[in-house]
Amino acid sequence: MRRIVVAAFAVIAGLLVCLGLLLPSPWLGRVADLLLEGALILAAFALLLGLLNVLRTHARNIVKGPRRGQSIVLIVALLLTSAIGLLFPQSAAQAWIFDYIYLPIQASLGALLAFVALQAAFRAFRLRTVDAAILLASSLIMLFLQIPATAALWPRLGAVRDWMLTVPVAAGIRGLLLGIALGTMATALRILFAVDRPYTGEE
Amino acid sequence: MIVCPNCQHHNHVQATHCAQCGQSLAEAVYRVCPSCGALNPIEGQFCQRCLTDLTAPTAKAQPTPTPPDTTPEAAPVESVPTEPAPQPVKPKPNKRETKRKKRRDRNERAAQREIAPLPDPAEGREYKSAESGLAELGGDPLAGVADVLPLETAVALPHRGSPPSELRSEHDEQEDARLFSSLASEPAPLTAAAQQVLPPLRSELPRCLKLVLSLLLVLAACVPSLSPGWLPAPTTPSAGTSAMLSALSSLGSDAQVLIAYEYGPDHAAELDPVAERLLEQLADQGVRVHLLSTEPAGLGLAEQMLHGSDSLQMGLDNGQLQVLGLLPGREIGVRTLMRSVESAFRMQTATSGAHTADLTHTPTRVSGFDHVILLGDDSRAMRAWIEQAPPTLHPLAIVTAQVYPALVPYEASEQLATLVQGPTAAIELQASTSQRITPTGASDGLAALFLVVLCVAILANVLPVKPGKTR
Repeated sequence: MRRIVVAAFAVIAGLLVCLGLLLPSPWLGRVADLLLEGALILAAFALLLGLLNVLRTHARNIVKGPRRGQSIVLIVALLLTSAIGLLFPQSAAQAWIFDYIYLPIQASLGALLAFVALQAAFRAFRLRTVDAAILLASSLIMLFLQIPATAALWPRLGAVRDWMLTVPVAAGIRGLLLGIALGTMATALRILFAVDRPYTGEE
Repeated sequence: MIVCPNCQHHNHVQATHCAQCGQSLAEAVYRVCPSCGALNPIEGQFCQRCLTDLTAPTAKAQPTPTPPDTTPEAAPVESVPTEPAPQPVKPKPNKRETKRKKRRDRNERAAQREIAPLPDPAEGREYKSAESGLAELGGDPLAGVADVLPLETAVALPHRGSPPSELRSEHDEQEDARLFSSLASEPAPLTAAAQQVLPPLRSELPRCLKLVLSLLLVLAACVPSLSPGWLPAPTTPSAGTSAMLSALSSLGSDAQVLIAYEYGPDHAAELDPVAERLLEQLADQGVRVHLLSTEPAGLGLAEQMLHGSDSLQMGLDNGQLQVLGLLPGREIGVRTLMRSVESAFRMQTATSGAHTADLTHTPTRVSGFDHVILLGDDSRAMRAWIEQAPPTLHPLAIVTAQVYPALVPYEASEQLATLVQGPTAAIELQASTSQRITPTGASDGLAALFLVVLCVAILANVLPVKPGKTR
């Protein structure tokens, strides 16, 4: 019974939002907006639940876990940041945490990707197959054309770069986007026709 | 109890001759099983306890029992052999059979507690004769079984031993077990992908070469800061940058622009220069700028940028620059924003004590802004803006080089008014205005990165690299 109710609610809500987007009806639009705001509130509560789940998991790790130290650091950082954000919003302490902890760590992780990509390129650029040759040639050509000085040295190279981006690259991206759109539509239709049922909490 | 085969009289367990007819009870009645020591009737072919073939050569090595004399007179009273009987040849025990016998014996002992434990042939006990065997056992091993099993009939009645049906079923069971074992040990049919044997993962890049390439990459990253400008900068901006510049330069002091910070700290170095340059230019023009983000990190970067520059801080103080806040929910948040700016930031305005956005000078709808500028490093976030925006809204997008190809179709379909790459736009903006950013250094940095990648490509195909250690 619960599965039927949940599936019916999902189907009705999906249909209303879909019709609200497609039909120029102010009533349907208001209903769709109301449902979307409800989804937003639900997402906020889901985030809170996720936060509590993280806390519970790492608290369990602290009690009887192999990586006790990491869990302690995580919980302390989480509680400290949350407390500062909740008690002193827009404060200097919160800005300090962002500027001197979060931002450098995130930027460092992004910078490390360059080294990983370089090692991956060493493996991928070995000319063993035709695919590897195409990958190597396209990578070098695109990277060369990305240098602003090339357009300054020879203006036609800028046109070549634009052509490559707007014709072959855009064609591939269009194919990907069409595939994503078709997959999204298929998934939406499966839910709307109750072929796929939303999560009901049952295993 | 020993039953005389002649008169079927029940004799004492230690009796050597029948008390009624004088028939010797030592060797004429029973045959000692060479395997388990059980006493079996002389007519039996198999041991009743362990099913050992009593007519096998080892068993035949036993002394041939003398046929019982039916006349009591003929039977010698003192017929107990003075010499020990020939020792039965002990069969070489098969391990599997020995285990099976042990198990069967154990079960029987558990079921019939009255039966005394029988000697284990594995212990190497020798049987010289039935009499000596009985003496060693300390009595009749079958004592007390008379009331449990019909041993009297089995012992007394002459019968030809035949393999019991249990043996046949055991054979069938063995066949079944063998079949089951073969089926269980047969490898399951694998799919084609699973049948492919993957080579072991090897680190093909030697450690020293890895270090060299990493150092080259670090040097390339340092080039923009160290370069005096070896390569010439582009003299004219690209078409996208030109369109963006012309669109922004035409804005008056009463114009309002919405800027979405949709990038994180990992791409801040790529987009921060152009974002800062844009803000300064708009502040110089007197344009009212509103900042927001769907990600907390983007909002933090925006606030950091505003507080990090004096001119931007001044604009922030006099209300020319305004941070609207966080727009949660990405697609849903953008859709809500498209419906009404006030409803999208209702939570912030309703919160007292927290950061409160002043929406009195903000257009109520997104269409009220003169331009919407998207700064992004995430194609999904950018697509959320493009797809949730009304068709009449044509944002200006400045994105990272990684996201740029994914958004080219949207520019071609005019859903984006302009689409430019962050580093290129920064250099071209610098070239057009000749202000703060050092374009030549950035151009040299990209060239150095290209050289590093070229070195990697050459080394990967020229250098004979030995396979490293298997991970």
